[in-house]
Amino acid sequence: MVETILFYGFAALILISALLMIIAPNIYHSALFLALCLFGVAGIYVVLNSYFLAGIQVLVYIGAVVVLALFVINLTRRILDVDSDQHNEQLLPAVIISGLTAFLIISAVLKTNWGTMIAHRVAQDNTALTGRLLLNEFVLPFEIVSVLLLAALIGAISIVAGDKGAQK
Amino acid sequence: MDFKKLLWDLFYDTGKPLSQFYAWAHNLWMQTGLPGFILDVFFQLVIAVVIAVFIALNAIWIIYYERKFAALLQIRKGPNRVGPFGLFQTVADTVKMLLKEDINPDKSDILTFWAAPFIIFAASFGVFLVIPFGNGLIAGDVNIGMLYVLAISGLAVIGILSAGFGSNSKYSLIGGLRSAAQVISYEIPMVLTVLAVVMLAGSLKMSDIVAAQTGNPLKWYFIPQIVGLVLFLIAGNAEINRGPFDLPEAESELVSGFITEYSGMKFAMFFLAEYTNLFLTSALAATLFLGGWQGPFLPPVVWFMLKTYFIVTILMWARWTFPRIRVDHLMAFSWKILLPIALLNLLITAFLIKVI
Repeated sequence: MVETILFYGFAALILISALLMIIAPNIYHSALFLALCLFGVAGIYVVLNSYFLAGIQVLVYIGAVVVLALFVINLTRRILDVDSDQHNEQLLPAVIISGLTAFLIISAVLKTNWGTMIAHRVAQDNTALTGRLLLNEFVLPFEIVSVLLLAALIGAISIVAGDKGAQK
Repeated sequence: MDFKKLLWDLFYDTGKPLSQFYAWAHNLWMQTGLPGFILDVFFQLVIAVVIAVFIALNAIWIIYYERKFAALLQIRKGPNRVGPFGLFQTVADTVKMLLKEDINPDKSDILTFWAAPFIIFAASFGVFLVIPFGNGLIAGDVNIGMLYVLAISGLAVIGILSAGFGSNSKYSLIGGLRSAAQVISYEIPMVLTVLAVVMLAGSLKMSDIVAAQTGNPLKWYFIPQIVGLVLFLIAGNAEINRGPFDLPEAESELVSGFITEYSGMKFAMFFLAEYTNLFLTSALAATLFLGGWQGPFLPPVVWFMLKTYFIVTILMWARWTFPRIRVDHLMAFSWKILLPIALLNLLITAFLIKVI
């Protein structure tokens, strides 16, 4: 009962804020609605008892990704102008690609047999379980992701440092 | 019912009478046949109101304390006109704020300008969910406790950036950007020091972290984690934009930073959030490093408040003693000094846990 109410509440929040994010004329507002949308996703995780995932969702997606987007918008002058156009001219490719994506998602939703699948609520204290799984069974993918992130970090620093770094 | 025992329980084992009362109320409610979650929602609302009242009263006291303490350090008297010892000065200020006109600057962005104070206050209000005030006196002991604190308090950056953007003023914009850069930079050493404590306790849950330190002061984490405590206080002080790290509102160059354009009640929200954050950082330091509510003789709540205000005093002392540092030094300090020390601290802690 409570879960149903919470689920539909968060689902409505996600859909409405996602729609507002697309149609908002101001790009800063779009970023704020994106944060709201991601917060709704975190709420869905809480309903499913995945507290750890919800915490990470808020910490990484809202606390880092959206904040970075807001930061960049604040630093960029021209896109804040009232009469700057938020849309580009690529109507045809956009319709084709989003149509294809929508077709894929809708056909996947229709083909899945939802009746036999029950939403699996995980155990209460799954944080320790997640950690154990990450460092035992899935240690290889975990390490590969770490190395990938490290490479991205070093790449970003070398781009920023540029030639100045090479001269020193 | 033994009245004396109840009184003892209320002070020293607060969780027990509270859960007994909840069970009694739940039983009574179930006889009416209505769904049980309505009662739970009602209790949660009551807890939220209690916390809100606590925040307001605590802010009134902590602001008075800061002004008196600053006066002590600067050899002057501080507030001494309204009420005995000037105790009602903050109340008078609050009433003044409430009566002031609410000004929206021309060409400000209404949505972000209005949302910013609420986002900032909500971020500090939310953290109170997992603060253990006493034995069992915790609003919601979720199993990701510490992660929840870091996630929710990180949301304040969105409010700060929105305040800078929405005000449509160059001082606000620069203040907002500075603050965001500062909070993001100092969050990393803070998370790493918290991680060392979490590794020692073996849990993210706040009640487990407190319980792991036991009632013996020699086992509190400020002894193995003395480096961590100092790092936490420095990074925490920078996180809440106070003390020598108040670059975002450096009045000598930025008027008042991201709160330049705010007035009346919205300004009061920023002020309330700042002092609530000061209390929260101190409460977290007391919980993580000083054994939380544990201590001999006195009731847990009293111990918790004493420890918290001890840390508050240290942070205020730092604020009124050190000069504001330069903005490029601020970033270098976080990335080149605090981060390596925090990483080293984490590594040594992990090594010692495995060896000993």
